[in-house]
Amino acid sequence: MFAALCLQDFLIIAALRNHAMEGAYPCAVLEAGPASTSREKLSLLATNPAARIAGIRSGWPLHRALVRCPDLRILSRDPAAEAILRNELFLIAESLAADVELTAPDAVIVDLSGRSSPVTAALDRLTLAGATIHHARALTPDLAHLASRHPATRGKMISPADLAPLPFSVLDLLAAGHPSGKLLKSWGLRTLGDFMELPRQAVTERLGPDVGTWHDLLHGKTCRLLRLHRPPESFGQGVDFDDPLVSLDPLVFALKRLLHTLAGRLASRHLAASCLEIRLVLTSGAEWMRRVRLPEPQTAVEGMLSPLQTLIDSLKPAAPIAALRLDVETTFATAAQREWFGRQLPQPERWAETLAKLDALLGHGRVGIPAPGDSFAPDAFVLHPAAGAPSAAPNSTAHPACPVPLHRFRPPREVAVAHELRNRKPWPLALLTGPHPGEITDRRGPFPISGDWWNPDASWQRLEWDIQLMSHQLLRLVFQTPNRWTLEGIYR
Amino acid sequence: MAASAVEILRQQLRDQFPQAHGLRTSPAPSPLLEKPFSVDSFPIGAISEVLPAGPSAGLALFMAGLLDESESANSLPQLVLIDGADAFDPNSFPGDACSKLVWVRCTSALEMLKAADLLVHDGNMPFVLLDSTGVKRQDLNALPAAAWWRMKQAVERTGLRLVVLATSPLVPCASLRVSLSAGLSLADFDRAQAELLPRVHASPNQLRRAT
Repeated sequence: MFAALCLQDFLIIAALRNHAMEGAYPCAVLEAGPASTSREKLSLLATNPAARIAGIRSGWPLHRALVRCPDLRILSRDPAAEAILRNELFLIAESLAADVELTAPDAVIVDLSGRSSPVTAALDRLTLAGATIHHARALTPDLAHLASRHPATRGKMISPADLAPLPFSVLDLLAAGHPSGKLLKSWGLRTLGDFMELPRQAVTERLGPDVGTWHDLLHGKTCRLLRLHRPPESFGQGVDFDDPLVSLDPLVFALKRLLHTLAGRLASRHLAASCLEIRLVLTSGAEWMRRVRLPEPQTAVEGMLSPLQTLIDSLKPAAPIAALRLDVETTFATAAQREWFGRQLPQPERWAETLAKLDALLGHGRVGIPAPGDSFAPDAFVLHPAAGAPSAAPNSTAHPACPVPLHRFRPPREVAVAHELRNRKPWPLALLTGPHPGEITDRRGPFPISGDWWNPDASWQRLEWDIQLMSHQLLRLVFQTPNRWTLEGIYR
Repeated sequence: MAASAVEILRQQLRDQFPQAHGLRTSPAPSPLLEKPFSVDSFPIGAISEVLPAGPSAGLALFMAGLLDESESANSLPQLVLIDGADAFDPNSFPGDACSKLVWVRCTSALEMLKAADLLVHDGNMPFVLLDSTGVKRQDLNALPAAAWWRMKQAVERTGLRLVVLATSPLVPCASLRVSLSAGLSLADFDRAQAELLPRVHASPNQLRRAT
């Protein structure tokens, strides 16, 4: 047996949670339309009982509703409040049984087959602040859901025959937007019973298998499995130190304790850690945060502690540490055997530790898998993490413009250049200063490049040349207005 | 008699502490590198050195060829580039070539050596490319020679390939030293990279062995 719980006026209840004083007045939630659309032409998504008493219905355009009720209070949707309300409904359903499906934003279905105690009284006692929970029970989940949507079938155990008197529009719950739904209405069907009396074979042949599925569903012939909802679980932990830590050894001990707890929780759920996030709160109020992506899912304390300890050893906090927070991204532990044809890291846990040591030696963001940037700005590139998901680095088939790779000077080296003007553009003749002075014997260019022209503060433009010196060195020379010459790199 | 006792003692020490002695198979340098862009051209468990024979010898093309030749089916990076002068330009390479390497951006010779030491001891990456071409010569000369010998032992132990790019001989214990020459000029910039790669010639140098 299944029970469906639904909240009528879900949107308006959520929107009114932050405007409790408005509840006594006619209220409506307005849909979010494009900026170009006039607000008066937007439709009402939901109305409260007071608005319905005033004769206003959902789906009306705002200007029509305002003509009917000038005092109508217009509310906008509140996604955060909706999420909280949905979660409260889920928790109520979970108090009845463990297997719950989030069928719609405002409805859940509970599998009561494992429950031995009577459920009717428990369902009637369900309450939610500021809202009424409607429920219905049936032998299949979809019958229960349909029944919970209509006042005539709410609050009781229903059979397919009980649905027959309901209006045909109830089927919109399943057939919303389906062309066969409109077609069936045009056939003159007024109630669900009219549809149920149609011969299944014939109606399926004419209108397709979807209509046959609805027919079976209304007759209670199909009982699907629930898509069980499992709320995301947090493995976050934290320690607030009574006395702020001034040395790092106690921090490692505290971290190890958290990792032991974490390892136990992960093991009980058959999960493994793929990424660890450590956050230190300093007494000065500042926070230090670092994410360590593990190359292979880890469940052992040693495998998780090693890269974190390397990071901590290189840490020089500016103030005593007041609190430690540890969070984790989980994944399934790898149970597959190693690939025969693909190379894998021989010692992935050691690789993570090495990366952490490199991070400590060179600084954050100095090690990674490079990828060309998505702009023409000089030296635009991105650096993906070297550990963890290898697919993070997107493969691009675009080829660079120059066949010889550049050995880039970071930062570019300023040089003095002897030049003349040709066609109102500078024309380099010789490098006077810098690491490679000499006469320019050949050149390609200028290549004018510009970017961010839509942003006056960030716009840039430059002229680039590939030059060859008397000493056969090949260099990239750049000119930027008003009179700045730089060597961007060398072709070795 | 005494000599044989020493040999026996050495043999016993090798058997007892194989890691301390490492794999002492000295690779025989090939007379000519037919495929300079192939990872297999460089000996396993040894340090190789690649030097330019002229100002535009194609060192960067060598790197492009290596990235082009390495396997693409594997999602893991194939090699580590320890960039001593932080001079690698990702925009000069296609995206799929870049995804085959882990870029370690150093700013000094000491950082470069320490990073190489960490990666060589790690042993997870089979090919480590150390680019010292942008580092100042006096900084490189300040590196103690003993550091290279220690690195050689670590490379032998982990069995990876370490290739050092340098403008002049740098590693005293290199097993293979290769000179690159391509003779590039600006006129070559209008050609495709595939046409330029065959022009890069790699010729092994004679090494004066210390041991």
